Amino acid sequence: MNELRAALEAILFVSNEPVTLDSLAEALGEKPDAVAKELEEIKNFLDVNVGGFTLEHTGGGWRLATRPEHEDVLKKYFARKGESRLSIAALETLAIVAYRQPITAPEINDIRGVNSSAVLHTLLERRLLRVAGRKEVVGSPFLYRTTREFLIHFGLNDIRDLPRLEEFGDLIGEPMSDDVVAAIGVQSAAVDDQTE
Amino acid sequence: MTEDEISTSGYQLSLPTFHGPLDLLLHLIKQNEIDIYDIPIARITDQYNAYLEAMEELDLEIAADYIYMAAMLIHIKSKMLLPRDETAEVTEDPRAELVNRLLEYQRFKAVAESFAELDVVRMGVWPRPAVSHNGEPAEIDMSEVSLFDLIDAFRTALTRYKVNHPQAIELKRTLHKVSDMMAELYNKLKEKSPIRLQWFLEGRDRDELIAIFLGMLELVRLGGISLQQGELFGEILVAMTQNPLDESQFAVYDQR
Repeated sequence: MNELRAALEAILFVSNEPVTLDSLAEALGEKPDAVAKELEEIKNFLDVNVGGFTLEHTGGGWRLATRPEHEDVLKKYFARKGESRLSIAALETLAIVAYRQPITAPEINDIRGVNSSAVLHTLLERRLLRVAGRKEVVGSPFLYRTTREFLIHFGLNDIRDLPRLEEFGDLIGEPMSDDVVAAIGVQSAAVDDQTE
Repeated sequence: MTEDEISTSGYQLSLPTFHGPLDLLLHLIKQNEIDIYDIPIARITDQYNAYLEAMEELDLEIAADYIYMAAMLIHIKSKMLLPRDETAEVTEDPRAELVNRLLEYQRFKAVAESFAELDVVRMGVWPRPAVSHNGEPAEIDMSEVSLFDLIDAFRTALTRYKVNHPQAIELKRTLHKVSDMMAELYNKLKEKSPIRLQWFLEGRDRDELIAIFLGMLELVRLGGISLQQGELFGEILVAMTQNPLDESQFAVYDQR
């Protein structure tokens, strides 16, 4: 019987938020290395032997969570709709803040080419972004940063885990999806009519 | 719907939705299989404007952002028609700034697409639900209470008030002074600190809640109290700080 492992399992069982390695090590009076090793072993054990949930390393901590494949059954049993998916505008804004933080609303608008204030409000309300002070320029606009919730939501342990922006290369020349092609067909005909 | 209505409202067409002028431009560039580093501005401007006209004909509201981009395209087009300055050592392509913006936007669009895929998967991952471990959190986390958390707390109290007082008829108008609320909260805290915000808001009506909200913000600003939240979406606690306030000064914060 591994007492350290049992104690970790007990804490993880009760926690609903990711618990950090340091707080676990401190509470248990163990070295962080030893705790980290044990956590990895618990995760491996769950991945091999337990189908219903896993231990995930997210938002700078560890937590127990279900696996995506059980979403439908959970929704059905708990009669919950779940949160709505994020809109394209929200995802674009999140992407910009994630890579350029801290950043102001005018700077985000510049990159997107459209006003983003409504989207920013939604993201603040969902706690995926937070206000992190003001920029010392005319009008002193708010600066935005991503939150720990953002990391947890996207299953990231640290903001530095994001792939480098340069890895998102040129999309132009890539094949288009069918519905876009269909839409373009209608539209290019309209454009031709007008130019002739 | 009558026949008459159909003939006036016409058919409803659905167009591909664009998420802004840059998105539309990228679409046109892809559609025409154009080299992004060598955009034929005249052709793209025509197509862009044709698209806006089509939107207008369909009674779609065209956001100012699209019109701004149309103006910018015409500006670039006119710059390209100007004779080049032979004396200048390096002539900058008038399109350079637009190209850089398009490339940058395209990158973030790609990131957004990968986020969208993650969003779908991660929505299916459920953590253990939040459970209250009997009362006050053992250790008070001094992490920042956001304005949204605060507004949430007041919204909860407002909703509860509405539920408990379904058809309350207002007989007389009670005016709640911000200063009174500041004093009441401050005196409560002298007896016991910290207190739970929801407990203090219990049973208050709308006007009172507004006065408390404003009064509390003043107290925080003056540094007399602090707000704490143990965990995300957790209860907000109000506590005294080491910095004593002069209560006779509270009246300054009443408006009118």
